[in-house]
Amino acid sequence: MRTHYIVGDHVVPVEVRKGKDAGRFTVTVDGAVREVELVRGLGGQIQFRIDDRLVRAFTAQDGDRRFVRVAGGATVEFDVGDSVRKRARSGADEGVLAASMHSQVVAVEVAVGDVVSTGDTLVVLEAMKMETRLVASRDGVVKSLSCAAGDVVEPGVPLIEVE
Amino acid sequence: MDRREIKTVLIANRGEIAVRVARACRELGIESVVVASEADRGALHTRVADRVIEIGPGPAVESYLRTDRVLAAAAECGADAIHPGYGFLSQSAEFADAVEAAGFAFVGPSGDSMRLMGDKTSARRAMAAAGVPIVPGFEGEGDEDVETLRVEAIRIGFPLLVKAAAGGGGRGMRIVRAADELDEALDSARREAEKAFSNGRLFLERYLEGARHVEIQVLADGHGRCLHLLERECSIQRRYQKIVEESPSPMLDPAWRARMGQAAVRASEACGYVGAGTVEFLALQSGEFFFLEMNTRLQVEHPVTELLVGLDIVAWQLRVAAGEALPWSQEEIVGQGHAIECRVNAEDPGTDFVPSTGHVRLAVFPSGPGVRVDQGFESGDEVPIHYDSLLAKIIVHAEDRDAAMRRMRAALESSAVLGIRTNLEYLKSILDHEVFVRGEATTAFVTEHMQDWESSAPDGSEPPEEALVAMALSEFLGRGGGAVASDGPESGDASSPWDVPDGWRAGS
Repeated sequence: MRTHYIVGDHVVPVEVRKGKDAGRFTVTVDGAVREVELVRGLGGQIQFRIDDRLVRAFTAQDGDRRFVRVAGGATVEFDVGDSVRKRARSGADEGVLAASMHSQVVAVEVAVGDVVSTGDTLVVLEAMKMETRLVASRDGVVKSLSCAAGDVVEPGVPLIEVE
Repeated sequence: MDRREIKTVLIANRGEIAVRVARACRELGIESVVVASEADRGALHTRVADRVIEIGPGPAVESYLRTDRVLAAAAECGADAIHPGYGFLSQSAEFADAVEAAGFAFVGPSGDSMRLMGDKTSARRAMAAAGVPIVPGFEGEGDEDVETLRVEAIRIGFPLLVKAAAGGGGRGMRIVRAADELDEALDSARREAEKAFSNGRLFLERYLEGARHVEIQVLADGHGRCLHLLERECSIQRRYQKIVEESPSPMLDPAWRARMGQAAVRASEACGYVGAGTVEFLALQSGEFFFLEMNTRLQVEHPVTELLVGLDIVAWQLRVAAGEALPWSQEEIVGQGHAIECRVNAEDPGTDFVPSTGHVRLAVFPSGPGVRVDQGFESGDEVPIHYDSLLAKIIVHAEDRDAAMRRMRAALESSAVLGIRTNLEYLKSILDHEVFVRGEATTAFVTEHMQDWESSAPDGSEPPEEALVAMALSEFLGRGGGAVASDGPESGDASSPWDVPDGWRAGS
């Protein structure tokens, strides 16, 4: 198996090959070759020996997203893919605003065509009892609006554009 | 108090606490019925209860906070009693009254007890009358001369907090450390209050520097017996949300503990309390302690006490509601060893603790001697946006505090919640912090010692090689439920043991 993990904007080539003996693998990460002895791999929990060290880890995936926690360490997240893809990010264009988290629209304070100034509250969002506000990052006119009070919105999806 | 038979309980809650109550019901041979919003369809609490009744859309105001719908659900399932859990309607006196008026037993105190304790002014008065120490203070009318305020200030003692009664956000607030700073502070606080709020009323309060949050669990039956189940210390808080709790408090000695326990019992008796409740205090190293408030319900951190004293508080809530008498004397309530709880929250400590919702791809918690996990979610569950961020509580019990801390550290290290962000690593940092380890943390701990916390692997940083190896190997083994990207031809062998979907173990 060959794949690439995308960590930030760094692409790490990864390869896994079965060894001759049962339970032995050769894992190559970014050119470094590692001999690995699998102890157990079941339901998102894996244990293996690498350089005589026993490693316990938890793994999961969600689409292209990968999640790993090596026991005792931090949980890390990265993507899998063949090329670096741009992940949808809020504020890529300063006039376009998106939720930073999965949340519910509590109120939309403006309408298309409204003149707004920097700092004006445009949309009020709430998740887990915590309110966040999307505020105008520039003076301008509301060009488009793609949410209404009560909507549940995903992170990174543009909700309002100020021009 | 009359005996009333409880055969069916409606649990008016969700998440880990609904799971916890349903478990107690099962053990007692009581049928458990939970309510669920549309956003909680298929949630863990609906899977462990005997029955589920859907009560409305995701937002709590349209479901879990709707008294009419909860009562309709109770009628529909023929409930004998309603357990409110914590949060939602649990501290609503009107709800407790409505439950009893509709003919169900309310698992908790009376509406009158809640009303008395729910209002800060009436609670302070009742506590003072019952001989429970309250934070010394003075609320002015705004027209006092400086001399009157001086007299009150000296009565209260130093350090002293001068606050604008109409204030907020620190404006008009002064900390006064000695009498000779008083005049200047009163003057400037009043000027600032008048300017900012057009209201010069001042509030004087003893400033409790270095205070610790110590609370007493109480349990009272309907036959006049009220016991305290020792203390819990919950000084580790972030924005008034507790995150780590323990018992015993590293600060208290037996005499001090007894004094606080007796004060909590007096507080409970003063409001005619029945059921499980918690009297919260701020305590100072000097041995002083002051009433903060009473939580007239089950608390999130109740398992700490359950492990320490070996009692099932939730089961006793239900038995008390059924009219049973508590069979113990105060002397029989003895704590053993040490218990610690950590709250695992769906939030991202690396990004200002923003809530993290979505799909829990994997949730693994340890088990073993002295380790208990009360969880509201399992692998594959959705964390909805409408409710609080508590995912699970890890509670450990060991022979002493050092052993309990070691047990908790190991438990945190071998837990994993993947797919959403959690505070697991942050909790471990608290358990490792020298101030916590020494048992000296005050309520200012998080502000003073955790502000500069950073994940050991911030977003975008290079993961350790072991993590990449683990992921690659897992994907190769075909685990994790997703497609394996860009397979080479060498792994396409369907008969390979690595492709067996339910796992493979060397030597099996």
